[in-house]
Amino acid sequence: MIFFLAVPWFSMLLVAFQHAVLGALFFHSFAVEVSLVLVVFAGLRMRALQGAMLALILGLMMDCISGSGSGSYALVYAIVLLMAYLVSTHVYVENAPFLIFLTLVCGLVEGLSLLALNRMLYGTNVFYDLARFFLPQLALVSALSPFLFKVFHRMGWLHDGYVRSFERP
Amino acid sequence: MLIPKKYQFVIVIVAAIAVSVVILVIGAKGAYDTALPRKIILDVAAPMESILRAPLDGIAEIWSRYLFLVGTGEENRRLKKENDQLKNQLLQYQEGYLEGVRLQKLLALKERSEYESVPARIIGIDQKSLLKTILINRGSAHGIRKGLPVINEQGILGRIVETSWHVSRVLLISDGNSNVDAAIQGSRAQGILQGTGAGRCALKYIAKTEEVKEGDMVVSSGMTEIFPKGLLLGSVIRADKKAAGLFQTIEVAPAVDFSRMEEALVLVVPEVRKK
Repeated sequence: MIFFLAVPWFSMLLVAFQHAVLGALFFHSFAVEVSLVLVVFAGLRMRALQGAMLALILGLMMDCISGSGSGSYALVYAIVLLMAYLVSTHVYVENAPFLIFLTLVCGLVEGLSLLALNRMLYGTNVFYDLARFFLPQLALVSALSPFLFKVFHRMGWLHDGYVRSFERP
Repeated sequence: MLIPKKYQFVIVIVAAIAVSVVILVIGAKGAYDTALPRKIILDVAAPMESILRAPLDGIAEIWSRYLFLVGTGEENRRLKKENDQLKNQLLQYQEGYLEGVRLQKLLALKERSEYESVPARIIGIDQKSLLKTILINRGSAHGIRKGLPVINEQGILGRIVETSWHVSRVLLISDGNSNVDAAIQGSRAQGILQGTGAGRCALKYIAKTEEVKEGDMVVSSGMTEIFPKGLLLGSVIRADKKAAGLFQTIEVAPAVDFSRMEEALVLVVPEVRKK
């Protein structure tokens, strides 16, 4: 219950933090997308409903803060969540190099999905922005993902939706 | 539960994807129209962002003030230097302009004069020694001879007392050794204007019967043929008939401001040249 009450506020705080603070740390050239790592984390470690809820709300917050069309990030994060879940059922994902690799792949899927969505729905081409900003920030956030995973593990209130990977069917 | 446990997760996620697609489609219809939930989120998130950014802005300000100031200091020094150079340049231009104005006046004076004249620049002023003299940058090579009168747009400066090839010395009318034949402009009463050495002159040999008052103009009378007739010498500042003797005591302020001379005109008076 606490989880469902806390998630909207936490999501808003996280998105605002990564937009304002982490963006400013890199002179607004890079946006360190911690929310992406959290969605990957949710796909690997959280229960279905809680993970989906988190991904959806995080995506909607991202849409609002980044100015994307409503539902863009929500859809992409849901796809990333599904991808991370499917990987977790087949592969052992506890080691750091694999977490980095998985985050990188999920990030690429996210980027390509956003590119396709923007092209299809709004007719805008964001390829240049993706190549110029998205890829460096993806490399950075992937490198940070093992550390971020440890931070997410320590967040007690998220345990409401937490489940160890081996407990999953 | 009817759905097998291993498919539950996938089904929930697929439902989430479906919800996203619905939101996306609704959103796409209105493109970037700010719907109510977006407005609420933005209104809540924006202050949150400001609060989160505040300490970072403070750090950024400290950074820019104290660390980037190194570069600013350097730039400031460079700009100050440039400013000084520009000030000097401006001063030079102003000097050039003022000089132009003065030379224009001198040229007008030269054109008015009936005599041939040689323009000269004052290169040295010596008013603190016993002799009140100035040096000009024209000498015998330019046709300057001893005794020639020297004037500027204000009036008579003095006369040449010494010449070399390229430099001449001018004895100012304020010097005690200077004697100029003079007359009161209105009454035509004639006398001798003699320097007192203190930046003033005394008009001598004016009879007590003559009416002289403060402000009367004193001009050259042209009697000795050194100074052409009618050139301004100064103005009366005091006339006193109380002293014993036949003549008045008349104090005259020279027309020329000796402390601000820069250019002069030497009149090549033929009579003087003959001598």
